[in-house]
Amino acid sequence: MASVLVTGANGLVGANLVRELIKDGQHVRALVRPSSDTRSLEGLDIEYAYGDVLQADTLNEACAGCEMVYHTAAVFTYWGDQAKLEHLAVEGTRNIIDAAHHAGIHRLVMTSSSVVFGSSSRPLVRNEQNQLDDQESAQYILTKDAQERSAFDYADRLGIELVAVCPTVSVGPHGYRLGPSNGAIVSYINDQARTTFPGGCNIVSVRDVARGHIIAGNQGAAGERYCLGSENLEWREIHNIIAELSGLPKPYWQANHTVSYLAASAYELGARLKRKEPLTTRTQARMVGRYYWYEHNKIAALGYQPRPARTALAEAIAWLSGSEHISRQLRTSLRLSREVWEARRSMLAEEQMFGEVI
Amino acid sequence: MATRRKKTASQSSKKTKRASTQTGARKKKSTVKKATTTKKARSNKTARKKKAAGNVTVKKTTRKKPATTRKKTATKKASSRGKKSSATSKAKSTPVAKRPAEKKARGKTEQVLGKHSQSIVTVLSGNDKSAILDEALIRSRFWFLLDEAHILSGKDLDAFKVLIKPDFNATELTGSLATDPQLVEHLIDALYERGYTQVIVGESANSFDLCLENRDVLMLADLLGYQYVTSDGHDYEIIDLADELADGGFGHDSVLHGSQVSQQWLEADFVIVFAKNKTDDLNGYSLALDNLLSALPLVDKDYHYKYRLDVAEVLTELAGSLQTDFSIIDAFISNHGNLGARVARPNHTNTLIAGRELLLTDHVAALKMGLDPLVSRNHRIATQRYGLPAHYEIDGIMSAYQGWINVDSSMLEATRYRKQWPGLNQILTPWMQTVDSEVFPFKDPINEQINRIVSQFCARLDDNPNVYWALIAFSHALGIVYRGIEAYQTMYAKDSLYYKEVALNIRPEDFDSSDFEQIPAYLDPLEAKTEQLKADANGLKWTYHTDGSVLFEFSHDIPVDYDDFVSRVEIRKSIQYMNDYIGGLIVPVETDSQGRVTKQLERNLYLPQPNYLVFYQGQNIDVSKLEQVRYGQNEQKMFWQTVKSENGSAGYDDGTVRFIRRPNNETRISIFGRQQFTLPLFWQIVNLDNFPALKDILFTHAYTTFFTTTMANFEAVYEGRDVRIGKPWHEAHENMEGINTPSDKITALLTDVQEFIQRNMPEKGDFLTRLITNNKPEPDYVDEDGFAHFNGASQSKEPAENDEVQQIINTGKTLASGFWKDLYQAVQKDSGVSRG
Repeated sequence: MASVLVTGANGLVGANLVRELIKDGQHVRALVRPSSDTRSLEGLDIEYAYGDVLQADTLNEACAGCEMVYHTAAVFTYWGDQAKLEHLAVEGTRNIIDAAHHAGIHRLVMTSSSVVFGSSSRPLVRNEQNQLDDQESAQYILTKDAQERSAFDYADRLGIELVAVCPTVSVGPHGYRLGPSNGAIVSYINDQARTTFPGGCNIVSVRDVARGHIIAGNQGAAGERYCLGSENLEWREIHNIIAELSGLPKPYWQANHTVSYLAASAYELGARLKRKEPLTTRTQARMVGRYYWYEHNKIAALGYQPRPARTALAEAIAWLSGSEHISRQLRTSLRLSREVWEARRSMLAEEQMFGEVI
Repeated sequence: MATRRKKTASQSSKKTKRASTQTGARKKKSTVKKATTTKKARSNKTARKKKAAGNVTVKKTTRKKPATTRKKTATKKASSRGKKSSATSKAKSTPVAKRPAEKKARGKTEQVLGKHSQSIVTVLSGNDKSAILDEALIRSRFWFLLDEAHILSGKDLDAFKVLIKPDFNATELTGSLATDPQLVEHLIDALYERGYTQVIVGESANSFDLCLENRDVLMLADLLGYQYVTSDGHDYEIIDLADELADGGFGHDSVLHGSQVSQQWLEADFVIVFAKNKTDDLNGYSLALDNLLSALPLVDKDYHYKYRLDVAEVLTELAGSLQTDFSIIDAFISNHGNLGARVARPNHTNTLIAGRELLLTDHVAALKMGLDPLVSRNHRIATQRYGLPAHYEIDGIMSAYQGWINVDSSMLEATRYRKQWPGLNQILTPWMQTVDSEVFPFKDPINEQINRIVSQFCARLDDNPNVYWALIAFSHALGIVYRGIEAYQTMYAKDSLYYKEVALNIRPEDFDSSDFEQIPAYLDPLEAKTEQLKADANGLKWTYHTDGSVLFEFSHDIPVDYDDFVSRVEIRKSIQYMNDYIGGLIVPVETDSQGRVTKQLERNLYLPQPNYLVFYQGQNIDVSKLEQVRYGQNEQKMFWQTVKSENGSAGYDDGTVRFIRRPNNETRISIFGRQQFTLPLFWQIVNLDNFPALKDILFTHAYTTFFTTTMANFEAVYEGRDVRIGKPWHEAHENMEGINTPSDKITALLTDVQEFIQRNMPEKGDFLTRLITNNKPEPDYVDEDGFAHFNGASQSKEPAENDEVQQIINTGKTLASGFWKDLYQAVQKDSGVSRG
């Protein structure tokens, strides 16, 4: 049976995609770096390929014998060396397209981001037709945009069918590295001031994002982009849901740009001293007040049916509450709702199907 | 000016050196550098000495324990509360002669003499120290005890091993801080004359090894004046008690469980503790009991045995478990004064004190100082546990030493305040200690510089009231600051508190099955009464019992499968899952046919409840319990009853926890309890009974907080999380590697700053490197014996280049300007000037 290759398989999207592929009966080859934290893949019946998308010579063997590549390897962060991020995104994608070409693979699904469709200062819903506006300054967003452009161009030249999927804020299980999406939940749980802020985003379950990858891979048109989202919510609504699900108070107040910027600066300073990634950054603070709202009609036409944002958040909280991202002391402050317990039970049952106990 | 170079342990350990003579080492004009002896080298040296003595056989035997059988002291108790009180008092008042640990402490000599023979402690004074040692040994029946022990051992004289444990803990060679080597060697001569030729002198390194050079045991022995051969030509060995280790055999209920001790000590047929007569700023005095701490192997004894553990518990355990057959106090030149051994202050007291019983000998020596022996917490705890002989005789004159200065009660209190703060005391210890830095150079120049200033003040403390009161004030201030920090941690940063590591302070043999089985009969009626109450909005039921204790019940449903829950959450560990559990231990007593524990003893410590009582000097709740567990198909239940509260923090802390299968197969946790905690003085004075409405509010809030958090802990345990608050002490090290001294931490901080600069200003990365490394001078040469020599010329640091500093400032300005620009934009958005 031919395999499908998943790059970045140990990441949040990758680990969930691997599970969905296994459910579909696919044989999965997971590309991870030798030094990668592979806890998110423990207990899964998969084949490991060790390599690095920045080391082209390690990719040919990984691609050999595969019929499809899901390229999820990327670093989603608003912190750190942004030049390295762009190098990873652009060069890494070119390398994997090259390797796929050499292995005779004709189709590749690339994980991009909905931020490439831009954002609005008013509650407007955007879609795949929209582009970044000129004022966008966040390096991560510019990087994803550059990655997309470069990848489509390069794949077209090599005759590879490239489909880009663009997840919105993806929350859910198996994220052992805390990225900005699950980080938004943890931030609220951590925040004793119970702060919300203006603007909004589209929340989607990472498990639906994984399913969306497969739909796009099977049915998506080459050269097209598909937004993988679910519900558009304001941050206050999102924080209200998190509060209800985790038994915490709802937001006491709404921070403005200035306070958000100062708070993010303090987080960054603390993170530098502790040598950790901050829960929020000044880059994110600059995004406060904007609406990252998107529709997913294009892929819904192919059968994509995401669960509601509330369910996605319940699943995410169920996983996060037992994870290292929520400290022991913080966990004792949570009064998890029945929805969270049920989400946990449901996920547990699925995991047991894979022979793994979470 | 001579300068010294810091050298790592690993570097030092590569060199093997024994000073040729103690005087030579002491009088070097150029500074002597550490010459640590490796373990292998020590073994070789030991082997050579054994060979010289015509005996190279090293036996490997197991530890010998007195053939005592633990005697159960079951006392039936009429009522449940009466039982608790009885059990508590029983633990404190069990006749000393019946206590098994005491028998262990007495060692083999007690088997020879029997417990009815009267103990003698001889106190002799004179100008000829050898002569008074000879006489003291005779009058204290030392030779009789030794000969009897030899006969009982059935060994030949040349196989009968005598271990002498002196005190090497000197930082100045004044003769007042360490046991006089001439007296030790005279004792060895006397032993040889009686045919006892297998004599070993043993000591181990302590925390000074972390900050001072030349603290290796053999090097220290050289510097103190031990010759390895007596003036009469008798060879003896000096060993590091940390070299050859064996399991100490400490029980599960011991604070030292898992610790190792010297195999030589365990194999010795007769152990003589030869301690120094010293005052001590924390305990009033430091004698033979304190000298036992060196039997433990870890180098950083302050950290592991004084801060991490309760040193009184440690010493009490050692006094009960280690064989000690005779005790001598070297008070020929004593050390007195308010700072104890921190400052060398000799007093020629010309006295020796000798006796069979270690605690009794200390007791008499303390009386001779003019002290209440129980002023020492270490001595007090040990004496409470083992007692003194019912009949004993003091042979000698007990008039106090002339010109003797004891540690004032105000200084004792101040020191206790200051020493609550482990981290700070690690820093202060090398600063406050008077040190002969020619003989014991500081490893870190920072410590040396500060010590030069601070120790001068300390040395004048007994003669200058200003210094005395300044230290008292300083110590109290530190104590207050530390309590403030601890209060903050208790309230807001519980994971920054250290775990409490304690021993079980009740003993299994003191309780039988009926003691456990009566607990349900006592608790069930109270639980039934509480269940009838109406729950509040949070699900809490509580009321006052007739005696003012509180009865409460709290239930919580978790929508998870019952069988799955009980497979992941052990009900017998429920106490450890409760809110604010900071330490303790469980000792199983009985299991069922499936191997599940059904009866156990537990000691547990919680943070003050409610936490804010810490601001009123509320203490940790420290309770020891009997616990019984029942396992059913649809319900598991644990009962507990408190039988002792070490610090008197609880009158009652009894209760049950149930895991119940719900009709939908989900899980209910139900906790019932009866509690009465001792309130801090302030709240006792306020007396909340005068304000019943306020009391109800406070109690409801306290119990609701406690139990909602406890239930969250149960959920978290089910999720597989560790719910225990606090942080562990760092792992024990048997050598110095891996230990972070305060100066190491300062260096690490500077390194962090350097790395930060490297990340953000790569071109300036080595600027700080030079700052950090410039103060480590290289030696002129290292001689063939491993001593590093430095000339007196100062090796000044190169001044930092002005342009480099300026560039760093400029880079900082650039970063700052970016910050202000973005902040300005944020303000503009908020003010509507621009849209985001």
